[in-house]
Amino acid sequence: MNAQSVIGVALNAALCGAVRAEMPTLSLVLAACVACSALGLGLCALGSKKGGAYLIIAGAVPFVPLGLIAVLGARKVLDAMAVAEFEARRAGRE
Amino acid sequence: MKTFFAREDTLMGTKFQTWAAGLLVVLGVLAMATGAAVGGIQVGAGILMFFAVRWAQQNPLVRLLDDHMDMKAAPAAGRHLVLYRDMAELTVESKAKAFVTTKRGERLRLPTPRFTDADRESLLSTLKERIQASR
Repeated sequence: MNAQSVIGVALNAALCGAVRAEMPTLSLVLAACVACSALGLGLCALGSKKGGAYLIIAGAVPFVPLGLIAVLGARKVLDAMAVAEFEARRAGRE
Repeated sequence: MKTFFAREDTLMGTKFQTWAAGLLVVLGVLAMATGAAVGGIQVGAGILMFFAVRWAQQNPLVRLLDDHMDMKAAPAAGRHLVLYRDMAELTVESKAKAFVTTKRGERLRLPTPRFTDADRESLLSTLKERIQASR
């Protein structure tokens, strides 16, 4: 879990709250997406980074362009994992 | 180390994308001025497009290092790190389509349409040489 994804999910939640009065049905759908992202943040915090990052991305996509902040945060987590996996693979072969 | 940045000219280039992002922002502001709240989405998309173009200008899409290739085609795209010795073959189907197949069965598409002709040729020939040298 990184700060960028937390801020992104918080902004998505704020947008969801902002449209609640005018579009209650849409806000319910968006709230479900925020819940999905929040679950992803929880999973990241508990150590299941890959699944958590994908949940953050899935929940943030309906909020694009604002949702890209959370998407990029989650992508950083996945990229860091890819680098760690690559380094392990390289070290294992040498 | 060889680095390959996105080209500046043509529709795939960063200059056109900068203009397109500016146009999105202007249209979005005009839409908001006429009372259409959806213009906010256009403004947001334009600003994010500016950031994406800026990212592409500052970061190489492909880096060829001593023993591996490092590829990240966009800010939200995945990062691919592949050792040359893990590459099975390089397939060039057309100018726009080139793939690296790994020994684990992954098929990675290289972002060749985003490079100049000279850069594309250089990338493909260097990659081919390094794959053969690692065997």
